[in-house]
Amino acid sequence: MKTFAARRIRNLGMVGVAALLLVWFNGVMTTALRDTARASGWGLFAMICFLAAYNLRKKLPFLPLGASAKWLQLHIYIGLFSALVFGIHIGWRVPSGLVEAILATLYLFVFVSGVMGLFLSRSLAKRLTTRGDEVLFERLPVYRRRLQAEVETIVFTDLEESKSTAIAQFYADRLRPFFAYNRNFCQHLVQSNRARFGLLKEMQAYCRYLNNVEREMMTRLVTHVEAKDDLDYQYSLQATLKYWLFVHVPLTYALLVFALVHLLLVSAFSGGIS
Amino acid sequence: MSNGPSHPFNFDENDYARPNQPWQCGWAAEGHACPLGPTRRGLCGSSHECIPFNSGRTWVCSRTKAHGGKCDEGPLPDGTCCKQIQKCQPKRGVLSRRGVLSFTVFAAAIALALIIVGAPNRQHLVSPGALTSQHSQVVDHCEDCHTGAAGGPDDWIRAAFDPDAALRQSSQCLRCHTELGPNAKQPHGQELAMLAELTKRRAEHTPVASHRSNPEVTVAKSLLSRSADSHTGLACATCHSEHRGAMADLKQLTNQQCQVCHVESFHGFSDGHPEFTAYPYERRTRLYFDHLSHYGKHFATAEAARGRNCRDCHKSDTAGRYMLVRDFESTCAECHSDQIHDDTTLGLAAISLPAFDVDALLKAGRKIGQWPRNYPLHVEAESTLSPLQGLLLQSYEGYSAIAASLSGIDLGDLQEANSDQLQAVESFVWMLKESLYDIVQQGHPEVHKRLTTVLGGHVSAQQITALANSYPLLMVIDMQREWLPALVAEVEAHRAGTELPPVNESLAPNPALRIQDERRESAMLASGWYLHGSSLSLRYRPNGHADPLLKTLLDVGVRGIVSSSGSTRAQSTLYDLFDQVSSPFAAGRCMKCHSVDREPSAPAHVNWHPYQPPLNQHKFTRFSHAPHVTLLRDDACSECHSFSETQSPADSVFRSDFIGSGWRPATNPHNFESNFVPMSKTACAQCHSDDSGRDRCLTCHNYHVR
Repeated sequence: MKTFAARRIRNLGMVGVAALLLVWFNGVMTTALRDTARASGWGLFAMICFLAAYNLRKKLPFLPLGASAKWLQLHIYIGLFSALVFGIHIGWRVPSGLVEAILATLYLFVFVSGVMGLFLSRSLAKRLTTRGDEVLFERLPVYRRRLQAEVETIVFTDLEESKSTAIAQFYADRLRPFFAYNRNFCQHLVQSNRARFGLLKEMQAYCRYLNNVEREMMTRLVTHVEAKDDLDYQYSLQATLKYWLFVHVPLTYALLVFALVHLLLVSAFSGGIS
Repeated sequence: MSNGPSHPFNFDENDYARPNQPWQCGWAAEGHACPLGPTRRGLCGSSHECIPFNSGRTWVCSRTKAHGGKCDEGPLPDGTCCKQIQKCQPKRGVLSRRGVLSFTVFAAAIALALIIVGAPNRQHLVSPGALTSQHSQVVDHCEDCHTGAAGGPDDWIRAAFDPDAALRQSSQCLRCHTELGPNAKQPHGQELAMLAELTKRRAEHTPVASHRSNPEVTVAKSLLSRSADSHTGLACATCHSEHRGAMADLKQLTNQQCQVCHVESFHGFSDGHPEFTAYPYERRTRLYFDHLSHYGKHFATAEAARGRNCRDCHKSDTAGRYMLVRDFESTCAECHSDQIHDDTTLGLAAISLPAFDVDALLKAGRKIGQWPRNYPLHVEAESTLSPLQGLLLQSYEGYSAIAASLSGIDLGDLQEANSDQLQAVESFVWMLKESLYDIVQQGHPEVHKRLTTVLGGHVSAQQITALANSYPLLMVIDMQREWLPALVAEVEAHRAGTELPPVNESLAPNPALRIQDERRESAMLASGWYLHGSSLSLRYRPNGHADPLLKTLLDVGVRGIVSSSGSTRAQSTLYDLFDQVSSPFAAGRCMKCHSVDREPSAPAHVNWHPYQPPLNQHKFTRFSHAPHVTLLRDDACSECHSFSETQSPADSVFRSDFIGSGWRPATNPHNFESNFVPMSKTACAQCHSDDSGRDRCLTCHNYHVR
């Protein structure tokens, strides 16, 4: 069985060879005064259609269209290869027409978001296993709410037992916003614990003003703060893994629309589809 | 998490998560999503925490363990759950939200696309970029260039499937670029047969050598040859890509692209380019100027050569491309004006009265009326006609027969002539008199009519008019009054068939005095028309360089140079006229310097001017002196133009390249030997080397040849 690294090297090697062949053959076509823009345009259009079809493939799992993993591999490497075809198609110039500029911008957004998605799916997936439990993304709000309820129970119990409002005050001021929402999205993305340690340090410093019962309560709250921070970590990474597609997929449809418009215009204005 | 797994996997300990469904329960985030969940349309579908089931005897609570298990209260007696659920506001799931966003973006993209292609100013919106500054000044609308652009998007769709659109668009280009000629879509704008001939000739003269060529060119030639396209025509867009900005270079082509179509390919100018053959001396100069004899003989003395250099006679054109020849006055006039103004020659005889053997005619009883005898006053009179007169007489009926009868007869000695010949001479005399009479009586219109009859179809109407108007009518009248005073009465009687008036011999003046007067007048008259009594002719001496009459006569006469088998009588007479004035010793000596070209594709013509490049001329090869002269010294012409060592200044003054046998002009401009050594590629390659960036094909070659 091939390792992941070996597969990556093999696929990248194939893309590299294909890229070299493409550059060379484009040079041959240019030398032969052939319409390289037309050839690369049709090639790019076919690639974009194939890449867009991956989303369709995922929606039709019952059809015998091959394993999704294979599709993903093709999606990744054809997507990378398409950047070279795109560069050749536009002649490595910044397009100056409105339709062409929109089309190029859309392609670049789709391509960059795809590369970002590839990077995120490779890096964030590993990091998800390093902190907290593996929780379904849809259930994260449930556990956040449950933690909040547990914390509020602790606080109200303390209020009754210690007859002191110190912890309740601290909860109202500092912990309630923390438990109410997903927090520190960006810091978790960059794997920063600064906010977590800041809050824990603050809780530790607050302990000097508490009696023994309250300190015990505070210790239990620290456990919940850590659990909530782990949930936020999971949310941040899982949301990122899901929401990059909010750029990649919609813009792909827009790209297809403008690719068709571009195809119509260049065919009508520069000599027909044939 | 610190307090155990937050994610129990037992089915009955969890809410039923439906991440793939578009709507999620609004209470899911609160941790108590209802078990049924929202409908597919996003409506809350639950009213109670469970749907009790009937066990047969009673209603039993069906609440799941994940939602707290069976409730203590149990269902109501009517079977409904006692735990009512507050209606939620269902929320979309992640996939659904992405789907909505995708649809929204998709719809927005279609809307934007429709706005762009449907907007009144859509032509600006769909333009892929600015035109070059030259085209943007003359092109207002897309359809000016794009045949498929007229109309709206529906027309665009039709045009998109038009297979001939590319060539049709090229026709739009050629509406303005008419200078490219009728074969503009063919390679180099030339006919395919001509290109094939050039290729064949190239292969014959210099065998195609194997050079180090670019592998891309080799593959492109073998796989993507455009030879088939050359038959259907090449679209302009094959080489020229527009909409790339105002400053874009539409003519940018690489050396490799040029070589794809050519039989022979090579690496660069300095590496494989064929050696020059006779460049730039591919034909003789239009003006006969022997550089060797001038520099080696005429300018040989220190005084004559003082300060002389190439720029004395040559100057660059305004573009600095060609080195042109300066005008006559600033170059040749210093030494050659006197040869044109030569009053030692008689000049050109326009009309002459041939020296007939009058006594023999009278003796034979021929009635010719008055005709001057050549002795004692007209001793230089010749017994032949001037070619100009011959032209006029050809318009008279019967001239051809008379001319045929007189062939081989010496008109000045008719002692041996038989009766028929004498009859022909008599007719000839009267035809001469009638032609002179017609000119005297009716003037230039008569001459014009006669010349048109003879020359129409051979020379232009303007040339006929110029020639007719150049006849000095008053001088002709003087000539008639002087030598044929009874001409009017005689011709009128002859035409009426009545008795001729008697000849009055007493009109003749004192011969000795008359000869003295004529010689004095002739010497005084250095130029222009004059009557030369000794030869009984009306003659002309040129007024100087570029004399209009001599130019007209030569331009008309040169049309007589045709293949001998196909020449008509008129052309033959034209050739006689040309022969009379084209000798390097004839009046004006025009043909001593001005050559005559006769190409298979064009009629013969006199080169009145040195080479003058036509405007917008595009030959296969181009060269501009300016950047080269700037780099070199002022007197550095010889760096490239060095004298031939096979010729010497002592060679014949009249080289056979220009003056042929019988002092007639040589007419083949390609049969020559240059004074200079042909240029070599090596000299050019010193600067135009592979690493200089100045060895592109288009540096020295044009694609569009016209």
